[in-house]
Amino acid sequence: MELVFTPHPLIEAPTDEEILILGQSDPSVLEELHRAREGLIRASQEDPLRHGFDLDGWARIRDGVRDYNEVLALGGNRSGKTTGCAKLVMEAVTKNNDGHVVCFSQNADTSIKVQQAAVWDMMPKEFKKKT
Amino acid sequence: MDNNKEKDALMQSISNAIVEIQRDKEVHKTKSLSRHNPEKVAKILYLHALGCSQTNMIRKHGISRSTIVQVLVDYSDHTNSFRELGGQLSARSYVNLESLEEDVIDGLRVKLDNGYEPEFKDLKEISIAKANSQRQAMTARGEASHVLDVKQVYTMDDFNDTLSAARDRIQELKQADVIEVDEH
Repeated sequence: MELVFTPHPLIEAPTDEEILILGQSDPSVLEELHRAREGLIRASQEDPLRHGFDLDGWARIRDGVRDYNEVLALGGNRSGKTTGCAKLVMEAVTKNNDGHVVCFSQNADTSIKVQQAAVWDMMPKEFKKKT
Repeated sequence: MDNNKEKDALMQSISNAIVEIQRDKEVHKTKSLSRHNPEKVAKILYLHALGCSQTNMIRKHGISRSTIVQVLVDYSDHTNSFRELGGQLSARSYVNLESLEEDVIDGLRVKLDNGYEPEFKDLKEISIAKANSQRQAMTARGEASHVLDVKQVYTMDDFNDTLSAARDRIQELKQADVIEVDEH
């Protein structure tokens, strides 16, 4: 069976030399390494709230929210502003029983296509039930 | 506790909360539905406690969404205790429907024995009512879904431990490959 290590920007992959040595001398260790790495990637995609990765800037947003009433998060296109805030929103609603969280967007269209989609992606599977 | 007692306890809890909010709104001279139409507020809180969705309240009970949202915001500190009582009521309703369904099935079985040709509608309506009732009961109790993820989840620590163990093993293999030749 061919083992393919999925490219990932944050999870280190074994080098070609390491794959060769383990494949020839101890395939079971190579299989376990592959299973752990692919399992980690899959968990981060299926449950990004609990098992996903944080970008460096998100920690700064978290620190800001903890210390101040308002936080301005600036960033270029695809820098992770929406995803990071969606994670904060899901953390807030899953860790608190009371209170309300309101998300604002430029208009109804971007709310549905961008903001709500990001929150939906971040939502744990057990809450994804259409009524 | 029977059905009426549970309902009374829930209504009493809602009344107490309304009185508390009314007092607060009066002190601050705030215009509020709790002061002008407490019955409507009680109805919204009661339906919410039973697990009735906002859309359902709008469609079936003719209450506007903004009114529902305003009331739920005003009573957000109380809704958890309402839901606990409402959950008991909804659960009882579900169990009653389940019992009724069993009776209907028994009755149907008797009719079948006497040559009756069953129709889909014989069970459809009560099954729908039961499913709705179960969903309301689960929602009222805060149960969002039955989805359970039982797959093994690998964490970053798991992966780092495995990678570290693999590299140790590679070092062992490399050392084992070195054959020292003793030349005399």
